[in-house]
Amino acid sequence: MTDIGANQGLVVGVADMAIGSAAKGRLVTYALGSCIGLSAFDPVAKVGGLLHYMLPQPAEQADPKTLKPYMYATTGIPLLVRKLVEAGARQDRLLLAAAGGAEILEGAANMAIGKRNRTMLRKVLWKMNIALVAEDTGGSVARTMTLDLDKGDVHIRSRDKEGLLWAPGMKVTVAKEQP
Amino acid sequence: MNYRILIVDDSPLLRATARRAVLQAGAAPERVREAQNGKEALAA
Repeated sequence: MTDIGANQGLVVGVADMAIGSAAKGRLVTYALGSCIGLSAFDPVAKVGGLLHYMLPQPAEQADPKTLKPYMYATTGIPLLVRKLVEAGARQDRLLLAAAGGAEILEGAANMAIGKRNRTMLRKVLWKMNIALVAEDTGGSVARTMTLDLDKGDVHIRSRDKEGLLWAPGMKVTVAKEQP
Repeated sequence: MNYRILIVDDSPLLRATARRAVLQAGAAPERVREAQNGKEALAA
């Protein structure tokens, strides 16, 4: 899990997204604090994607032409799904898992970004009619999230734990929201 | 998901919300039924 070289997987940066098929190996994103990592995988078409968004939605005065779509839940999540459908996936087969949305900063510096990111995740998915199959969100830990593009396994690593969050065939494990 | 689900509530809006949630969770549409009161629920 620890040494993911450039030839073993693709690193998804902050406010970025990547998709790929089995040959690409793995997608990994680091340093999910209040940001949320959202993985999607179609086990039949064997394509998947990983999104790392920072904020729930763009500022109202933001220019839609210049904003980075993968920075926000409202723009990034529909785009992740659209790109996967263009790559051969079917929306009703997509298996989505989420990680992050923690509260890292304490007090006034913390504008409840983690919580707002989690709320917007639910809102956008509800509108798109897609349910999560698993999530590891909330708390106050930074997480690393990995999606295996061959098997569809999702791994999470944090200070507290390291291991498999979900794999195709497992029962749905959406946990109770952490405070 | 192989469950039969009966949604009972007098509000059509809340029934629609609950239906959407169970369908998103993978329930088969033809196995989800609705009733707006106890009598209907027993009949369904």
